[in-house]
Amino acid sequence: MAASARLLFRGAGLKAYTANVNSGAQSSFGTTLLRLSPNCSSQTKTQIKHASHFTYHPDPVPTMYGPTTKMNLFQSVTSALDNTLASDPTAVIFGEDVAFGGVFRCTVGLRDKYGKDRVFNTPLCEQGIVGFGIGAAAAGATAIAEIQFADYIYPAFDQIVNEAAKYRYRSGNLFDCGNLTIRAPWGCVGHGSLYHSQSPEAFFAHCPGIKIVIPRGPVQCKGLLLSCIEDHNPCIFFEPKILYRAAVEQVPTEAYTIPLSQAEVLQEGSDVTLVAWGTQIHVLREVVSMAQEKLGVSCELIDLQTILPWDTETVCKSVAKTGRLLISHEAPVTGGFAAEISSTVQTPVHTLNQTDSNLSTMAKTRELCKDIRDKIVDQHKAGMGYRTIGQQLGEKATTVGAIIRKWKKFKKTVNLPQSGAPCKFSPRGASVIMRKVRDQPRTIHRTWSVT
Amino acid sequence: MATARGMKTMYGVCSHAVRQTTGLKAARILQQRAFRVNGALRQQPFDSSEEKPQFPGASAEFIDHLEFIQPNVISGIPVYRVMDRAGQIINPSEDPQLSKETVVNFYQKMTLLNTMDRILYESQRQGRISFYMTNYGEEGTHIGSAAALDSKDLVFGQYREAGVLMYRGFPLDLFMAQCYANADDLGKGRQMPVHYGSKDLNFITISSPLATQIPQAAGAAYAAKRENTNRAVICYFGEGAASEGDAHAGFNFSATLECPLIFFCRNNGYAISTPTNEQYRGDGIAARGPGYGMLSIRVDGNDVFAVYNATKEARRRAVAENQPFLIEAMTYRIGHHSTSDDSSAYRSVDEVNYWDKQDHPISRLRHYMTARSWWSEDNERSWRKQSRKTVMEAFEKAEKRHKPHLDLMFTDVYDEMTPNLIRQRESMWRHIQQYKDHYPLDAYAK
Repeated sequence: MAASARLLFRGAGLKAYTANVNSGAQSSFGTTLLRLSPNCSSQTKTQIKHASHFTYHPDPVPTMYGPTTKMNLFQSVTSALDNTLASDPTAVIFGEDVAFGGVFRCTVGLRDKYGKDRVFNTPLCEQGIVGFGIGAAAAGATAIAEIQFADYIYPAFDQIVNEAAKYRYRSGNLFDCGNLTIRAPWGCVGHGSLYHSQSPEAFFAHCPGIKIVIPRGPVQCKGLLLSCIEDHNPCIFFEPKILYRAAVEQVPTEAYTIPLSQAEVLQEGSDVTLVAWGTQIHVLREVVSMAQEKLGVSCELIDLQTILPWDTETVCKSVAKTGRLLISHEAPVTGGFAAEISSTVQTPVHTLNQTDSNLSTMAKTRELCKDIRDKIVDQHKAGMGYRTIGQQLGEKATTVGAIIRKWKKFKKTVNLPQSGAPCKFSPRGASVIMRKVRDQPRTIHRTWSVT
Repeated sequence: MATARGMKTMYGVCSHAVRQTTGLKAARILQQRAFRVNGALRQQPFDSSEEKPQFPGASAEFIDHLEFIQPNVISGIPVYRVMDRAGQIINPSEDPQLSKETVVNFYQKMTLLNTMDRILYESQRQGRISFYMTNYGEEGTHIGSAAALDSKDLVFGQYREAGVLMYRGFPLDLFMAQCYANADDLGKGRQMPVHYGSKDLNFITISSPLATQIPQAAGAAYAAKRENTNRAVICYFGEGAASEGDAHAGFNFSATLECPLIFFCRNNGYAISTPTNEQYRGDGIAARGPGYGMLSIRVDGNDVFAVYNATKEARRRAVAENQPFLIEAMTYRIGHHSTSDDSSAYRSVDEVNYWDKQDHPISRLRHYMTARSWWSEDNERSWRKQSRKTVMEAFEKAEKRHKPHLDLMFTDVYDEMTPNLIRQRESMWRHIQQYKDHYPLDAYAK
């Protein structure tokens, strides 16, 4: 699956502008990169673009977790599992072929070190592997299940969605399978074709009750995997298989955790927010430097890390600052996780600064959008006081009062245009208009949707 | 030749037995293999000098003529029973010889379950609860098996095992609370009726998808084995659920991973409207056990003592030998599948009446007790009155209770509420404050 990117411009009345940067569903993502900068010739000193080329960007050496050693991604997984089996006597690791070390060598040496009752093969049956894991977790063991490729996780979909995700809720918290962690190799590897390359996170993102985590490199991988194992909710941990050997970093040997549901801003910028996870982070790192060099564009790069529950605050705050969002992921674009991110970012949310979230009006400087004005009136009707309403919606009590007084007098919340009274544009409003007109010189006010 | 015969007796395998049906002989063959549990772990040592097959996948003999193994459905695995249909013990050495208190308790639990079923079924018809599933005709399977287990053994059920919970002491109030989804429900009112669960009584909460509990039971049994506390796990399911892929997964995993687990199949003849001849073509569920390397037995599910004996022995050996057992309890679903079903659409009333009148677990046990003068007509009358009274009291109490607090819609999705769930909860409260006239807030706990 080639990378698909969504580009969003936040601006008054603009609908989301979606660009599919790749032409076909199955095109390789190497060629896609070239199209981004049409001035880039093949004779530049950039690397030869093979079918699935990207450059791995290692993290800096972490200093707060103790001594480190050189590890690649699969070794960082082994290290995390080793730490877990050492500290938790109930921990067991199981799946297809894990006993001899695993098809990606993630469990090498663990069976000899911890015993065949703790690291064992199961029959070839994903629904059995996950079902077995749920039962073991519910009975109190720390169960770490391996699905050999994320492409084969679908037989276990019923167990994950109908059982694991709902165990705690449906039992009234009498039972839960928080001790369950499911690991699976994930994502493009170049030669994997349809069934060794899939990124199924979007299927599971629609399921509350589980957590989905995807690391970008060995340091993140070990910390996030240990967090998943420790977490009291069933977690799915997708490991980018193309990084198993390619990603090498200095990784702490002791156990450490990296918090879940916290996106990491890898690079600050001012013109556009880039969001990705897993392998695409490294692709976007290259994009960041190319954009700076060739377009003079300053990008802010965010690694989402946890897909579910995802860190809406960090992403929305960043987009509020830059005004543009680009999300890049490997899975198909329709219903992909970028759709969830882009829809959330565009919804007016109370937690954001009101002026930044007024995506739908343009005219007056601090005029609140109709939704919020209606909400104020509704809450007033429900009996809330001005100050409470103001606190809830992040507005001044005086603003709230003015809107309510106007409603009481005119029975409407819309501000109808008054003849003779000019509309005042804020400097920000003016620059948005200028930008829009610069991009599309034939813009007239009627082509902008105003609510 | 001598060595070959020697090997044959040692393994208990002879081509004669192979051609026979999967019957008692098969069970004996596998019993002998059971004591060589470790042998199954290793592949057979490779030795090309032998005339025996050397395939890693199977260790049988060669045969030189073409013959398909005939699945035997007509005279398949026999049905083990202790009492006849009139409640008389057939083979006195099989009588578990339980005390009067124990047997009277069996009877009382079965009849109390029956009474509760009648009242709750009626309450659904009257619109008081949304849905119900009765256990008519299967009370023997519940009580017989539950009595044979330890109280700390973990139970995974499907949905027609309320008797197990009742036997373990789940109060009527809590049965009703779950069906009414009121504030007393341990499950916090989130599921449809009959989806019971109890942590104290080691009964995993029921879920609607069928057979999902089967591989979970294997995992729980494996964890119990590692804990080394002599804890067994029992997994109930119907003959319909046994067709699910999860059932195959659970059987295979429990056998290969050597789990102390009892699989208890209630073969009651129907999966909603689907009769067994449309559910499977082989010799029921018990015949599948040997295919997985599991010890298996078929019992008369309407005979409480047969169920008790089989479960007790299976439990003892499952824990002692770390291997799964498969018990197929043959019984009949006298009631409809649920309150949403009318079984007269697919079976005759005569058929149902036969089982209700001629081969019912409750009446068979009653005959056993009256034969020993442990139970009289007076006992029956007064117990009926008392059980009905206690059920009605619990019922009336449950009717009056509030529904659970509205916040409970949002908790327990994760161990801690996530920011979006908190926002959604606040949004719900704001909505309700504003439109309180449209919502029956008085019915809910404050």
